[in-house]
Amino acid sequence: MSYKHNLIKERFDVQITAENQTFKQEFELDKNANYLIGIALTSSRDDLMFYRGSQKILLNDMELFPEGFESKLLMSGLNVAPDNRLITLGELGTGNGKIEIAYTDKAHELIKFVPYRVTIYTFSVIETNSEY
Amino acid sequence: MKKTLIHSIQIKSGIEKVMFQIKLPRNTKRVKSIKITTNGYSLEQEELLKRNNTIEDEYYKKISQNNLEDNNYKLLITQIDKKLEEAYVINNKELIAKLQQEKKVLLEKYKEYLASIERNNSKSNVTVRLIMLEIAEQEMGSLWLRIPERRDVLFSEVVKMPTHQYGLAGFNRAMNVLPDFGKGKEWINGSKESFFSIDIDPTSTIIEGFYSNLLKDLTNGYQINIYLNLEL
Repeated sequence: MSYKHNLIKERFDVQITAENQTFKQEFELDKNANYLIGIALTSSRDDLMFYRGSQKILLNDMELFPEGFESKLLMSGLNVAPDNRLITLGELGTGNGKIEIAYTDKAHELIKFVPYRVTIYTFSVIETNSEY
Repeated sequence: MKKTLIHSIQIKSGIEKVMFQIKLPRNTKRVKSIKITTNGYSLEQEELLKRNNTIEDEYYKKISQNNLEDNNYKLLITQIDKKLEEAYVINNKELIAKLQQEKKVLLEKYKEYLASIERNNSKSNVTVRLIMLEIAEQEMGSLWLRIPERRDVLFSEVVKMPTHQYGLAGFNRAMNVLPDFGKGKEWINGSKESFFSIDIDPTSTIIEGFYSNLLKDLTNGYQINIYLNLEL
């Protein structure tokens, strides 16, 4: 069982500076993290990410979300309880801890492009002998 | 091992029916869940959306104007309070009585003003909600998925665009705005996006699909995405 205090919460940013393009970035999870249990996606412009965004996310070359997976399926609004906003992934061994994201911005008639930030939060567990 | 497969279908204006095949990876054991998303709407819906957005714009403009007015009232009340404090210090009973009377009148005006805002807000809220309901009732098409060898339909759905995907008004309602946030009436009521849970042994690597488009008056085409969560 995992508790909040043996969870490592990390934040990684991707800047989306041009429309209709894919932005690839690689991040490294904390070296103490043993299992990746969930992720959450937010943005400086939620509306842009909601309508225009899709992404591919890999953990050590293992595909967590395939190309074209719409960002809106990974977002939660304010009206979702904070403890329920995490997208659970089970317990995936972090291995080298390499997280790769390829975020694609695609034009949408309802929303005009302005540069925005996409943030991916990762939640990993440290393996401990004690539960406390 | 789990894998998500996405199959997209492009629907263009004038197309009524689409047959398609989804190729599954060879090592697929089971299909665990399905989700359908879409991004299209008809001309009729577009007009409703425009109407809705105008009402929402006016609503938000009013709110910002109201905030200014609200602040003015609050400023006046604090100014009188300060003067009252000073009057109490010098024990000027006449001035205290005068200021108290002024404050009473101001508070009554403020109360009236707050009540009028409440009435206006609920009116525009109701109108917007009615339009959103009108939009929500419109269907985009029907989708069937089946396994060719068995000829049975494993999944069927009337594809609708969720209201929160219609323009900024709907989006704000779903993602940002809690109408009664802070008043203690509404706190949280949402949930994460979830997939439709299903458990299918596909036997072959092909799933057949059939989509029937109900939107006849399309300006642009639209896309249907079928997400399949697979167990490999």
